[in-house]
Amino acid sequence: MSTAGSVGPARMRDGALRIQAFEDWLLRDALGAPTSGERPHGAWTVVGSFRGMGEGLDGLFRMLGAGTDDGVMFGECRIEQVRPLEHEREYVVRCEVLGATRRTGRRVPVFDVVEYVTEIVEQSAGPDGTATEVVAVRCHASMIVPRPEAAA
Amino acid sequence: MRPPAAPAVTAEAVGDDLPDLAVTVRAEAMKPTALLLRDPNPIHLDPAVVRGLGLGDRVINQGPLNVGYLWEMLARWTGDAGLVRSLDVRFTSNAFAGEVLVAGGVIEDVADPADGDRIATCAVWLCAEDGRDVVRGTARVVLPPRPTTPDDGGDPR
Repeated sequence: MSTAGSVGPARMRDGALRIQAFEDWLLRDALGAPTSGERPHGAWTVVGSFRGMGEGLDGLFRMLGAGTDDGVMFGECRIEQVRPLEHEREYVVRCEVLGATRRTGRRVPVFDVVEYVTEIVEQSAGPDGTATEVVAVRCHASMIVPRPEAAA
Repeated sequence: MRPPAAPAVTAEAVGDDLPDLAVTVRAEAMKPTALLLRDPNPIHLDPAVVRGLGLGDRVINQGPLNVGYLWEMLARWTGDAGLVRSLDVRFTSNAFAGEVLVAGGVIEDVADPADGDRIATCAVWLCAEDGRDVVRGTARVVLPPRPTTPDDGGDPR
């Protein structure tokens, strides 16, 4: 992938995610969903990816070269649910910006499409003490980042 | 809200519609969601910021909530959101506080391998009342196994 502006491949430090039952209740309530469930609501695949990023959404925006009030929008999101998430389990969250492509448009004259991947990872120790990792959820997503300074 | 009484897969053939789910976008719901996401973006909280950016006059729903409505529609259809293998979506427009959205879908393909899960590939969407697409994409969902019959060689007990 090509890079645009100052956005190039970069990896965020690992973060952590633990979904508490009351947090799941809050998200379910926000969605108008049944407020109890055997497992966290499926929306946690996306919410948890953001929430658990090592440097948070603020950090992701910094990596995109944008501020939180610069009108950044979601572009696309491909979510793979390998294993459903569980309440009260500790996960590692990884985030890597893959790069950006500069585009032009009518409503937003110049913008970058920035692609990134997040993974919510289960870590456990095997019987022999060997650490194992399984990706539970992977999101390959893009953000639309307006670049008004490039349009001037 | 209580869980639905009896989850049931009411659509499982190509061309079958998934049961629609209508939701109202609530400004109040965006506040706890901002905390859960650790999302400081004021367009979800302050209409004045939305107006200042020229994006409208009501707060804008978080993208993960829009995706969440699709998950909820799929969960009500299958009875188990754990059966959703993938959800591939494109965000095509913003959803604003007060809007009524409808999440829906249709089965486009069913893969039925002899030695694996039956997987339905579904076109899914989240549309506003004015017909505008908010989210559109594709979901891959595991369908329950077909009931075995004596003719299948299965155990008839």
